[in-house]
Amino acid sequence: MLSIVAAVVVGGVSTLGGIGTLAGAALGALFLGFIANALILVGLSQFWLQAIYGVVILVAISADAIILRRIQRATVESRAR
Amino acid sequence: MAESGVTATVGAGRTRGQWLSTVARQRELSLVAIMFVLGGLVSVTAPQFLTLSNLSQVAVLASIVAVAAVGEALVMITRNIDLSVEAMIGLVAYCVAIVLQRHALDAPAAIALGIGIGLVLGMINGAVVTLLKVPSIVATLGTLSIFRGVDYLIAGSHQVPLAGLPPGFTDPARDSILGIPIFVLVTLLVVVIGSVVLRSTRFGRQVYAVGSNPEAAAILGIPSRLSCSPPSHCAACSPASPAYSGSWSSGRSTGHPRQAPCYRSWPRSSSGV
Repeated sequence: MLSIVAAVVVGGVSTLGGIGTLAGAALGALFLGFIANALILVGLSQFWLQAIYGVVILVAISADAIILRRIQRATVESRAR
Repeated sequence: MAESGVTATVGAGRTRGQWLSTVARQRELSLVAIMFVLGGLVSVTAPQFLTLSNLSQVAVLASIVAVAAVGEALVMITRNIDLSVEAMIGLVAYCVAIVLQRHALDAPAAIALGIGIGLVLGMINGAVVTLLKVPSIVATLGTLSIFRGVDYLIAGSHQVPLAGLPPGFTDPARDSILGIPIFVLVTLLVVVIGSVVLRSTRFGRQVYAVGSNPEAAAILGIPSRLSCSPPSHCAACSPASPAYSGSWSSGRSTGHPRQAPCYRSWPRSSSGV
């Protein structure tokens, strides 16, 4: 379900708009395909796939949010001086 | 980070910001790095993972998702979202497959038809979001059900077997040029064209402007209809799909239809996704 949106988000396109590249989105798709294939070869159940996609998406979004916030804070600080 | 020229003499705060913004800018590269690490780890337990045939298989399957992801990325950069893509893919896939199976059209015409259907469906999304001012997440949640419903309505429980399709249509899934699968080449083409448009054309910059700050974009005179027309154009994107197991992928976006290949009736599985 929604693996395309997942690929885009993992590829670094911000859900808040204005940030991201098309190459990133395509790479995100490759990344998810990579994981799916690896899971099969390692012998993990397909049922894990959705859960792992979920974790990957959460990690990607959190990382983006944290980085964005830090950048904004740093920009504000450097402007204040 | 854009002010780095102005704030030339600042200390740790800025270096940290700078470092982080470098990481953020290298987002794509970090993905590649993670993939390498992952590949190494997996190949310890499953040596066949890093074989050429397996990797090209992964690339072919991923390239189908990637084309749709390019369209979706355009939509998301404008601060919208399209939840209906996968239902759209299913519907387009079935229409193309059934037309081919009945020999109503030959392969190129059927692919063009698929892109056309994708455009129309996308424009419906775009129109609902821009003209009726419905938030895209709600609008496309609605069209998700509608497209899926129409798919079920047309298809019933019928499936189109891959074997019933003309070779002109199914061959590109297997063929490659210079060792690179055609699917991957088409996807690369889509990404390159899309990236150039997004980076270097007025339209592309407006897409980013609208996404970063819609109010500012409106004040700057980016017509709100256009501000929505990224959505509406972008929403016209999508459909792509799975390779071998089949189905069909199609075009997207601002009028330049993109790509195509498709096989059989993935619709069922895709609508089920």
